[in-house]
This record gives sequence, structure tokens and C-alpha cells, in this order.
Amino acid sequence: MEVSQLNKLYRGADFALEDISFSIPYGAIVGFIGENGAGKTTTMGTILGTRKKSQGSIKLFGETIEDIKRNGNQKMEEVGVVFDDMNFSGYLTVMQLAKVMKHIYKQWDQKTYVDCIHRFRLPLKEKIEKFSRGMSMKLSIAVALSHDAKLLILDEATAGLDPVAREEVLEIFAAFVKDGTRSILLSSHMTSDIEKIATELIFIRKGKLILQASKPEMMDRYVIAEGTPEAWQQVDPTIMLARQEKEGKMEVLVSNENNLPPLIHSRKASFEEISLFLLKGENR
Amino acid sequence: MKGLVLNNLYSAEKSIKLKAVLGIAVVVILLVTKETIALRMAVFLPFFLLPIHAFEVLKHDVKSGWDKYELTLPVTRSKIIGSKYVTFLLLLTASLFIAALPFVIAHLFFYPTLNALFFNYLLRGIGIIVCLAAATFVLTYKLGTEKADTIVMYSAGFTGTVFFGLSFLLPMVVGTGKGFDEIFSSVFCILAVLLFIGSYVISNVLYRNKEL
Repeated sequence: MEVSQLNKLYRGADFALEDISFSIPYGAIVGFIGENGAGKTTTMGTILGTRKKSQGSIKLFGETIEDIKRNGNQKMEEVGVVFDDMNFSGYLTVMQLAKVMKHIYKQWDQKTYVDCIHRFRLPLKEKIEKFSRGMSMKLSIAVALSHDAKLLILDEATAGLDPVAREEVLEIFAAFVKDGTRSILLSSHMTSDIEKIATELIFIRKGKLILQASKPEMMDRYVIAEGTPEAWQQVDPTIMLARQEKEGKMEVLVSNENNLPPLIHSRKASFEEISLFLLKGENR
Repeated sequence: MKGLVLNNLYSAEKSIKLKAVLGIAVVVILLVTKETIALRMAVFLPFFLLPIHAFEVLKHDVKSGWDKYELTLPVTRSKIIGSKYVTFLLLLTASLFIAALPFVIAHLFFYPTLNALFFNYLLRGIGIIVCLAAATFVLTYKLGTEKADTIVMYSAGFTGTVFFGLSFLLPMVVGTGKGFDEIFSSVFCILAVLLFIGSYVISNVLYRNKEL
């Protein structure tokens, strides 16, 4: 998937998506991180066609979304979706839902679906309206995994799951991309979930993409460094990603600690610290 | 589209089954009375029991989040709209059977029921519910399901205006001589079908730019 210069404006609203560009390579699990209202759901909505983009281009498997629509939306067969809220009518049972999906997805795989349902221990004959939030999310994940999708777009898909179920689902996601032919875009408030399975990271703040990096690169190279404002004036600004004032000193997240002047002291940071710095700190 | 229609029918399955049984029971009871007013009601009633569930489905879709989810499926937006209209037509056909079948059986085995009154009220019943659907679908896609009460009022007002407007205008064109009732019922039904087709086109246009 390739998103290029994506803009989404809302008439009369302060919020807008501004020049969002990123790509999702095959075999990657991309963690999409941002605060509430940062633009994660809007970005996913414009990719999936539930919202209209104002400008920019979105390509799925080499085809623009305009071409996909012109061709009857059939390419969406290869995209599995889980939204953070309810997805299906509460009056259906799990098996009735399968009958519906069988007629919608040409590649519907009943065996995979039933296996997922058993694995998630979901009742077959109970109406979906009686499901807890966690059970509904599991059901949505089961559907997303049962039509041979090449890309999963998951908006807060792990929300509402208990720790055991979350672990189980994360394992399934990791297995999904293992052969390198499929990928996942996963937004989550739980940075711990993203830390566990993401291979690539995208940070978004107030409608602007602030960073896309691979997780190993980020964890190996990014450090938090502290020094006086004067000392920071000697540093190449291109390595300074975000900063915050702290007791007269300046803490900065830097992408490379080599060549920092001696008056600036750096330290390794945890995934959560880096995430918070990027989401809460000021841009360089 | 089959999957989408199936989803719509499953969403209202329980109510549809209940109303179908209720409809048959009431039509049979009314037929037994042999009263003219009761027979008129018997023809009308099924059309107001079943097809309204096609409108209820729209509310279920919003409540469950399915309206957003279905936009991500490998189907076009026009098929999504089409599925709602097809669901309505299927329920209308079921109503037609529920209304007509007891009359046919009564006509064959008990007393003559398939007369002008039956056909007039059948056409009027179809016309009224089709007209109501034409307005309800468009208004729902324009205003949203949260304005359901307003939509019901406007749709009823629209249907009344078409019905009484036609009953006022048609005599000026064809007069009020013999067979007027049959002409009126037929013209009203045809007009309702045309409005329904127009409603489908407008709903498609409205839904094309819908964001969820």
C-alpha cells in the first residue's frame, strides 16, 4: 500500500490531514500511533473508502483507489478490516454471518473461519448482540482472516481484549505476515501491543505524519539527550526529532547520538518513552 | 448483492417471521367476517406489517456499525443501495402473498372474494407502501436514521399528498364515470412505482458521497 500526499479537509473544522505519505511493504506489520483525534481513523477511513480524500493518492496492490472503485471494488477482497467499534448486525449469529460473507467474498474460506471461531471460543448460535466487546472484536478478526486478505487494516483491533486474548491475537497477526506476502496496518492506543509485533512505525500528530521508521532502527539509534539550549545550538537540527523543556534544560529525542557535543548527555529510551516524546514533545 | 440482502433479512428475521404469522392470522380472521370494511383491511394490512422492516434495517445498520463496515466490502455503493431496495421488494412480495393467498383460497372453497374491491385495494395498498418507501429511503439517506420520526412524518405526508393529489387531479382527466376506481388504483400504483424508481436513483446519488 502506498499513500502519497494525502490531504483530508473538513469544512468548518480545525482538524485536517496534511500531506500524509507512507507505504506498507509486504511482510510488514506497521504500527500506526497517535493520540485520540490525531487522524489515525480518518487516514484509515480514506484508505478504505468510508471517507473521501481531498487530495493525494492512495494505491492498494498497485492500483489507485479510484481505479479500484471503477472496477467494482473487487480489490477490496484482498483487504481485511476491523474497526474499533461494532462491525456486524447484532441480530445475526456467527454462522449466519458466515453465510452472508460467503456470498460477498469470492475467496471466503469457511474452514479458516470455523477454526478461528473455535480458537476464539465464540458461541456459534448466539446472537452477536449478546457478545461482549472483546468477543465482537474476535469475531471481526475471524472474518478479516477468512477471505485470504493480503492486507489487514485494523483500527484499535486489540481494544477490549483481555490480556490472554490479546496475546493470542498478536500471535495470529505475527503468523499472518510470516511468509512475507501479506502485511498489516495496525493502529492502537496500546503501545505495548505495537511494541510487541510491529516491524515498522508511523507516528501521527494533529493530522500530520511526524515519523515513519523501522522499529529496530528506532530502538537501536534513537536516544533521549539532555543539555542546555546553548549546547543544542551546536547540534545538526536534522537529527533532532522532538524536544521538551525540563528545569531550564532541553530534552531532545535524537535519531543519531554520534557527534553530539560533550555537554549533551544521552541515554537509551524505552519504546514507550520514545512514543510519548514524539506524541507530546514539540517538533524540532 | 445476495450476501447484502441476506444480511438485511437476517437483521430483521425474527420480526419478519412474527409479522408474517400475525398477518396471515389477521387476514384469515377478517375474511371469516365477510364484512366489506374487514375485507378492505385484510387486503391492506399485510403491506403495513412486513415491508416496513426494510426501513428498520437501515436503523440496525447504523446502530451496529454495519453501514460503515459494508463500505469496505468488495461491493459497489450502488449494490449496497440496491440491496436495501431489493430487500424492500422481497418483503413487499411476501406481503402480496400473505394478502392474496387467503383470498384465493377463500374464493376457491368458500365465497367469491376476488372481485373489483379486492384488486382496487390490493393496488392501493401496494401503491401506498411503495410511495412511502420511495420517500423514506431518500429521506433516510439525506437526513440520517436519527431523524426517524421526522422521516416517518414527511414520508406519510408525501404519500398522502400523492394519493389525494391524484384523486383530485385524475377526475379532471378521465372523469368519474364507470371504472374510475379501477383506473385510479392502477394509475396510483404505476405512479408509486415510478416514484420508487426515482427514489432509487436519488438515493444512489446521495450515497455516492456519503462519508462514515
